[in-house]
Amino acid sequence: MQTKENKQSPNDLIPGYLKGELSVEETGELVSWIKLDNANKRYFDEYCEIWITAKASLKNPGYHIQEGFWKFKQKIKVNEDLKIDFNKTNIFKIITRYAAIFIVAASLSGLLFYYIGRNRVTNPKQSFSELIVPLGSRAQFSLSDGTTVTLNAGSRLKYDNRFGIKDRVVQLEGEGYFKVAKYKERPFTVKTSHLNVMALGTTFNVKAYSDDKTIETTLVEGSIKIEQITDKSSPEVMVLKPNQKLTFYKEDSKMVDETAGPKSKTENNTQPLQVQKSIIIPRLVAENVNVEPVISWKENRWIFEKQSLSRIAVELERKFDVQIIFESERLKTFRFTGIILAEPIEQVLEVMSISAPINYKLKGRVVTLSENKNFEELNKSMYNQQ
Amino acid sequence: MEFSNLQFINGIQKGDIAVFEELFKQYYIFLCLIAEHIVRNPYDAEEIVSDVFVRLWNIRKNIEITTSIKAYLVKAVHNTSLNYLERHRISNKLSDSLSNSDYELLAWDSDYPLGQLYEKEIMNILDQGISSLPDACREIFILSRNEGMTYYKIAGKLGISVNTVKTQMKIALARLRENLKDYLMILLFFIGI
Repeated sequence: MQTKENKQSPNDLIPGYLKGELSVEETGELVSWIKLDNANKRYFDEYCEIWITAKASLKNPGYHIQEGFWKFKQKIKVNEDLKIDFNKTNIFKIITRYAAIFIVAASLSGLLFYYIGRNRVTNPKQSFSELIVPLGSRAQFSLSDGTTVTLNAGSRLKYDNRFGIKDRVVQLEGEGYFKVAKYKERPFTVKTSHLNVMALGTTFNVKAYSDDKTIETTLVEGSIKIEQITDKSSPEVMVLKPNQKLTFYKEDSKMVDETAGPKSKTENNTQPLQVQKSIIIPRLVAENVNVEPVISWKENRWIFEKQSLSRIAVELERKFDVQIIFESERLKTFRFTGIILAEPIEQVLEVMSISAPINYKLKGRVVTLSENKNFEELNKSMYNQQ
Repeated sequence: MEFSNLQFINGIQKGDIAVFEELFKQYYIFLCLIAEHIVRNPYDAEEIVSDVFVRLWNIRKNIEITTSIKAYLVKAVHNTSLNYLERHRISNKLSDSLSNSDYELLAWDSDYPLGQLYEKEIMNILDQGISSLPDACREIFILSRNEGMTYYKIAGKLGISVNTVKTQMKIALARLRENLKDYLMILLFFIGI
């Protein structure tokens, strides 16, 4: 690299910047030069415009018009569709069952749908492709067999470039909703850190974040077989039916209170689980569930049933790419039930602070939550009794 | 299909999706390049441009465009990109000593007349300018622009030194700017080359 010349002229730095090849120091030098004089700024602006205009006349500049237009059509269609019909029965059932409901009409800026071409990192030298969805966004795309996948924030999906030829295997870290195309000869397999999920033609959700204590698989339609990855000769296998959720506990010594326990959710007065240090529980637990809350992350509807604030905070951090700090330990155990239809994060926080004893402060990407002691309906029973 | 500015605006107001498609055909790439230049990330650039079009769709019945649709879109993308800069840290490297306001400085000025070069006539002149570059210089410029090759890769491919590549890029850009002199309101400004 150029180290002999300590000071490069702007005419050397500018092409480098346009090509994205300047080091941070060199970019700093360029910035300093620009700051010296308005004429410098103007000169620089002109060069930048010439460069991008030259790129715009290329046949293949790395952006795809049809793809962009398709995405646009999807977004405006969704905007029209998402005028929520509150007569939809299942949402109504949830509403009438629980207290502390908060529903806010959506302002639908910022729906993010990436198309497969954009997020894919394909290296022809290597034999696989990997889709990486950063925090604060979602991705929806189709695989070559017609399977559609929606990936939640902070997720990665990896698959062989020869996917579909011999078998259909993908590797998931994070959360994905799969609508698998029927293809009898080749079962579709989602591999996670501890479990393999196999399906034929079916719709299911897999939640396997590396920093979560559990892996959750929920079946919406069809049937799937879940197998534990282990070097034991007879691994545990479970077959799920629709509306069943399988929870796999990575550590088998403790059951943590924040996760949904192995009780059905039909009653309103489920006892919160006691944290016991020495109990041994089975690692794979299946239960019947309402799939709505499990998959609501895909839409802009966000449903939670008696979720503790600490778990909700984890979801918020991922979805909005923020950091959440609790000023009160007790606040972490507060349980929410309800539906939020709001983005961005400011609205979500606003809604929560209206219907729950929470004060929030949002500064940059950091949210601080504290107890609102003046909250009128402060109801002790809303907190966990331990 | 050739649309006039007025036809574009009428079509937008009516929510004519074919008109929007034509807008994409004509301006999408250019707008993405503008956004990418500012936010330094092609995926975010696409999201920004997409958002601008969605916003345009949402307010289509009430829009008042006094200039051209191109100027409107360019301004919208420019502003949205600058707003994006304010809200996000561009660099992931902790050691990056550049502030967000430095990156703002590297974006165009708000009152820079961005987009005036994006006209058929002018792009023809640009193309001619590129064709009339000396052979080696042209080849280097094209490898840079078309394939996005780095200095190092170009040098390797052509069997020359990185310094030669850098120099030729410098020359190419200077000549193209010279070709467009009349179209830019240039303040001729000599910097020791």
